[in-house]
Order: sequence, then structure tokens, then C-alpha cells
Amino acid sequence: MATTTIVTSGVAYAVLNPPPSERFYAMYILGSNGLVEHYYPNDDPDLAIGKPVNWTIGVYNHMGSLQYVVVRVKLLNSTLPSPSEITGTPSVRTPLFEFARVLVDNETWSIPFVWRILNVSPSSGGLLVTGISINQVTLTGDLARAVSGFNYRFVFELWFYDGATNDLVFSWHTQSARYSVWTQIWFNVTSTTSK
Amino acid sequence: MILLGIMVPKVTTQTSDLVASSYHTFNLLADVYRLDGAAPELVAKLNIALEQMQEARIKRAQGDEAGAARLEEQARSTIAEIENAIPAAQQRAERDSATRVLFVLASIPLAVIISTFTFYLVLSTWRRYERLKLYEMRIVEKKTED
Repeated sequence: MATTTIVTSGVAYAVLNPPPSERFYAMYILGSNGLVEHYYPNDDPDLAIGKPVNWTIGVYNHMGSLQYVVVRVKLLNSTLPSPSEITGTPSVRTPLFEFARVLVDNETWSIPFVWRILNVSPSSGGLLVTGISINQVTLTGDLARAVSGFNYRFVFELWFYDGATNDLVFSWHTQSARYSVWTQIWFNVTSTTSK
Repeated sequence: MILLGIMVPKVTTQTSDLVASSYHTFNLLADVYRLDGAAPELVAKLNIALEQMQEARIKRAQGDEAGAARLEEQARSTIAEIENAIPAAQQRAERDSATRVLFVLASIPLAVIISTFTFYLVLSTWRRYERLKLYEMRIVEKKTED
């Protein structure tokens, strides 16, 4: 009788308390047709001034709880350091743009990201992006410089609110590892005039 | 198209008290969800407030201080509405959570009784079957002896 009670109680406990699933965020970028393709007009990463580029950024919350997430958009070249998964540090660049949202568990957030280079100027052997439009908001300044206009990249970093520090953080720990989520897309601006 | 002749860092600078309010409201909402409750309408409202804050940042960077202040006021008002509605959502979540716990606690002994009864029923059926087999074997043995 005692054995039966223990066994059935164990089964009941296992059914009522399934092991927690793996917790993670996912972030991805889709092209103009909402698929993992056609990231550039005519599939040509050498972008012309003023040509609109249409992406969708996707963020998926599988952390098992309500999450306050912020996607920070940064414009880098090939020599500026990328975010690091090993140390959990973000890129040192100031974000150009931010998107914030509260996501319930298992929710996917799609962010339209339509952008175009508005202005570039030659600068000490390179090309300096001085004007860019993101979702119809125009940003100006010394945004990013690249040798001959090659290898610019948009870096998208996923930050989230951490109750312990009462601030946004870029990485999180599990028992054995540190995780952070970011992605990037490369492009060139090889002409100072519209194609 | 919105034109911003501005320094880039200003675009992402937020009014800190509003950001702190959004964090605080998020914490309260997260507590509701931690209790296995749900308040999708309040989450949607908080997302509206976050959009208003984003638009306010853009307006301020654009130099439209009045527009930015108006949007921030709207965001504050939205956040205040959420915070006013949270105690009711928390109470509802606590009540639902207590009901679930009671249901689980009540169902455990019931599950144990039913499974124990089923186990003994199977066991006794099996024993009867074994006895019947033994009895048949004895009959066969007796017939063979005769």
C-alpha cells in the first residue's frame, strides 16, 4: 500500500510539475518579402544613395515570463568591435535607434525596418555616412566611416530589463553559460551619388 | 518624413523619470504574470506608452519640445491608468492562483485513491486468473492420473 502510494504520488507530481523548458530569446532579420532572402534592392549589397531597403526584425520571447525588451540599432564598420557573446559586452557605439516593447511568454514581435542612406561624404580615404533615414526618421551626423565605402554593417542588439539592477542589460547567465543576442547585416555604399 | 537635423545620441536619450516609471509598471505587471495571472489589456497599454515615449524622443530630437512634452504627458497618463488597474489584476491573479492550488491539493488524494484502487483491481484480477489457471492445471493432472 505504501509503495503504491509513493509511486502514484510521484507520477502525479511529475505530471503536475513538468521540467522547465529551455529559456531563450531569438532575434532575426527578414528581407523585403518577409523571408530569409532579398535583403537588398536587386539583391545587390552595394547600395545606392536614397534607395530604400526593407527589412523586418523579429524578436521572440521564450524566457517563460513577461519581458521588457529593447532592440538597439547601431551602425558600425568592419574595424569597430562587435558585441561579444563570450564577455557579454555590447558594441561601444551609441545606438542610432531603439525599439521598446513588453512581450508576454512565447510572443513574437515583428518590427518593420525601412531605411535608406541619405548622404555620404568622402573622408580621409574613406566614405562617411552623414545622413540616414530609419522608418521615416532622418538622422544626421558622423554616423560611420568605412574604407572606400565597403563593409558597413547594421548591428541589432537585444537588451532587456533586469529587475535586479533595475536597468536594461545585454546578457544573462544560466548555471553554466552567459548568453546575449545580437545580429548584423553588412552592406556597402560605393557611390556618393544615386544610382 | 520627419527630418531631424540633430546629433544622433539625442534620439535615444529618454526622460529618465518616465523610463523609471515604465520599469516600475513593468515590475508590477510581471508580478501579475508571476502569479500565473494575465493582463493582456494592461500589457497592450504599456506598449502604447512605450510607443508614445519613443515618439516623444523623436519630437524632442527634432526640436519640437512642446510636442515631446505633450506625448510624454500622454505616456505618463497611460502609465498612471495601468498602475491604477494593476491592484485589481493582482487580486484576480491571486484569487485564481489560490483556486488552482486548492484544486491541485484536492485532486492529489483523489488521484492517489483512484490509482490505488485501479492497481488493486488489476492485481486481484490477475490473482484470480492465476488461481483459475492453477485450478485448471489440477483438473488436468487429476484427469491424467485417472
